[in-house]
Amino acid sequence: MIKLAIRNIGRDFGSVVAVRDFSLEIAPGAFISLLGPSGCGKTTMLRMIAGFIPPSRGTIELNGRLLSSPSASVPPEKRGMSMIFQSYAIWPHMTVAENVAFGLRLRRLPAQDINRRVEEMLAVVRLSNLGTRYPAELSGGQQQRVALARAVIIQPEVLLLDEPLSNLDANLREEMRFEIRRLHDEFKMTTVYVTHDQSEAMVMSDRIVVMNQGTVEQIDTPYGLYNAPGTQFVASFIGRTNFLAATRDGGKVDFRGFSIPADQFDHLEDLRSQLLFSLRPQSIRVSQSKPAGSAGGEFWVQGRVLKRSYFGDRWDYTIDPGGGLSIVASTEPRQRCEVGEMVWMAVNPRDMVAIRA
Amino acid sequence: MHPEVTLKSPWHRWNPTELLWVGLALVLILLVGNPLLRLAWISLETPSGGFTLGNYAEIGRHWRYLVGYRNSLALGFSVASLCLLIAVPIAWGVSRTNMPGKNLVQVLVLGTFVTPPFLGATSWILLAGPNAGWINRAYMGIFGADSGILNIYSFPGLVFVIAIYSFPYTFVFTRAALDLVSSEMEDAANCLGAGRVKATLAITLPLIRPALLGAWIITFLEAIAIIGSSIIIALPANINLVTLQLWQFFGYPLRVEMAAAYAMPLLLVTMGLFGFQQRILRGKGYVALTGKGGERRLIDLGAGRWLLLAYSGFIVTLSLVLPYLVLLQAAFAKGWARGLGWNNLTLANFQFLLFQHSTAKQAILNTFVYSSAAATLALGLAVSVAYIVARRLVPFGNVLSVLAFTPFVIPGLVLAIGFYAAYAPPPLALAGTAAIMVLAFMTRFLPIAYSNASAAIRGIHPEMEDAVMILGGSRLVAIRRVVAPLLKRSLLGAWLLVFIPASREVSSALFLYGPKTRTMSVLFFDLTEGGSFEQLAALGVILLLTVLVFVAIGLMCVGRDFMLRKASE
Repeated sequence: MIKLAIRNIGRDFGSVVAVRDFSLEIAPGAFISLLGPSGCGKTTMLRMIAGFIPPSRGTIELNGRLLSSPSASVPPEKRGMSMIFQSYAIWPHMTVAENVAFGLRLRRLPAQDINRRVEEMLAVVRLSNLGTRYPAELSGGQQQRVALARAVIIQPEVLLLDEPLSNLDANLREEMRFEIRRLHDEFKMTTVYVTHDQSEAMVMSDRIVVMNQGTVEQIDTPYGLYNAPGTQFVASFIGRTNFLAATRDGGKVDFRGFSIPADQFDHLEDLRSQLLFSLRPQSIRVSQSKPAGSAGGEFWVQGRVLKRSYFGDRWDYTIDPGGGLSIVASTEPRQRCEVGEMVWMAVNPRDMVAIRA
Repeated sequence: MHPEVTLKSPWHRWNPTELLWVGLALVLILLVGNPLLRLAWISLETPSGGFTLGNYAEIGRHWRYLVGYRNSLALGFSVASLCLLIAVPIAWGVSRTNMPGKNLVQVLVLGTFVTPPFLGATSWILLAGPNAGWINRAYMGIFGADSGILNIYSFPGLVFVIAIYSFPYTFVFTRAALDLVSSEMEDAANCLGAGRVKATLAITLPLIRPALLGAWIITFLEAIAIIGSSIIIALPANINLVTLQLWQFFGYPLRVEMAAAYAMPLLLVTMGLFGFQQRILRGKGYVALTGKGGERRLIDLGAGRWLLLAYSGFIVTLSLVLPYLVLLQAAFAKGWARGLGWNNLTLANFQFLLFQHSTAKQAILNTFVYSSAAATLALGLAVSVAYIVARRLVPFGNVLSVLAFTPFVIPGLVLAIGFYAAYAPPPLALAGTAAIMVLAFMTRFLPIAYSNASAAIRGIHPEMEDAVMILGGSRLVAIRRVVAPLLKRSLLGAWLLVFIPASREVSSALFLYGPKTRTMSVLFFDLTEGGSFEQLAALGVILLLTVLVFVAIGLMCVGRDFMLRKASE
């Protein structure tokens, strides 16, 4: 079953194309993230789902019912969704309880029900004793919880979140990630989450839509995105990576500084002769002495350390295997190599993802 | 595809917001556009309705008319420059140094700001009128001279009396700019070997040059458009000014077409200078004025701080202390020249105004009614326009914004002439009605209302309303439940900021009042002909009390900085 169906949505602002061609089907109870750098169109997409912006092209359907099309759009207040805003948008002149109760009041529920549900909700977000406070008296994290409670209490068809954690400090951000995911799991809400923070999206989402310059780059699970990035943009935006250009030359794949037999790669026959591979720095092992042999399909590539950076929890070595390449390899913090030293890198073709350039 | 769903489009033809937009645009055009067009039109009209350039030609033929322009320009230059001399040291002292008594100085500058200039000018007649003025008598008494040294009825006297009530503008501009200059700017100069004086003169003052120039322009325009002080000082001194000449065109015989033509250069100069000022203030390159200030330390002046305090005290003594003293003395005196003493004390002046004078009570009532009505209407219009502009609910919102700001660049008396030209004749025939007074006040102070309303609305994050809508409330619910409560406080401040200047408005009132629509300030000028100084002073005290009561309400409800800060926006 499909909860929310977004079909070929596009949106222009004047001559600027904010969203080009966005299609996505979301199952009930799924947690989807829209991930991309600022200006990629993710917030515009979210506001189209909410109904604040009508689309220029395409349709949005909820439970099979048409919500948005270029000619007509159900207004936000008739969509039964709720949203958490970047600014929280907590109303400063209402108490915490009044903020949370607002959506229920609009639905004209009996006062008793409202009070009971507000109390329950405040307990869920751990604000039980703060119902009579005003938002200005709360910390950033508490305000965030008020926003969550206010949005969740109406049991929305879809919960939309627009970079809700970007105003919090790092520790709180981590805590709130789990809080949001916990609420999602508890109430089984279909959730669309907009963020530019890849680790946020990775930790929370069932599926991630990576967007860039108004287009969808890839839709996949966090695992899939990291380990099988479909485009150069995804490979570089999700985690760090080395891009290695290569030429297929008969039975070999030539990386200029070194080469690997073509039969070591899966599915290489589909690919053209000019290739681009993504190789994560963490996938490369570094050895300071000449290794005895290779295990599990690894290839040993000798190179000189050009640069090193120490991060405390790891070393990053930039290594030149010849041919003017520079490959970044991450090692555990105890492995110290000197700049200029000759080292060996273990490269596994299994970890090298061919990317459509 | 889904026939069971009925869809409503927010961009449907003639939805309510678009109707509202058209309505507001019409109101703004009637209030702002039409009077200006009528003004231009009538200046090109013969009495019988034909086209002519004769009105303009007639200006060129009369030396007296040309002298009016010359004098007004000279007045503007002198006042604006004198304001800089008066205000910059005080502003620097308050903003950058450890001068003592800063709060008191600021309060007294605020006091100067809310003092109606025509009241100050009247007090200065009591202080520096030839021979009879208090200062002159003191001088003659001490030095045994035959005649006093000061004559307020002179060009320098006129310059002084206008400047001493205009310098708060310069103060506000300068202080706001100085508040943004970080100490690091001066530290950098110190490191390179510049002393404190050198750093202030070579770094700080040039940094705030745009603000100084802006203040100079504002006070220049204030001086060339001021009618009250002109009537009180320049008329007896026989100095013709643009303002006085316009006023005379409105006397007998009434020559609206000449007034319109004669006002055109004033209007153009004003608009031109405002445009220029906007360009300067927008000019890039003065990072200190746009960016965040770094650390700010106060400059230790040593013993010099007392000197600076004495200077500030001297200025506010001239603007506030002495004028209020002589005004109070005169208001409660049988004869102001007879000095202090129990036998000279009386309430007769107040009694005369409140119980005997034929129109005084009416005028006081009118002042309150017109000012409240103008403030309420202006604010209502301003909030509606500001809201739909800020939320981009309509296309071309900026046109509305520009229209709402336009009265700011129209001198009050020019606006009044335009209103007269547009709405005095049939079909509306509003001449002498309360309606034309209220509409003129409302239009005149619409920019104050608009800039405040717009700032207040911009302070409300649009997501506050989005949150209402996504939870199921319409925009009207969002306005009623969220926007209105959040605006309440700042709108009270804005209301007062319109009410206070409206309650002491002279320029448009003097041109538009009728027999039954006098306000307190009109009455004041009635009394300058034929009334006594004692009665004038008493009326002045009533006027001042009115203003002070409302300023006090503002300070209590909105906060200490409310007038000075807002005035600089």
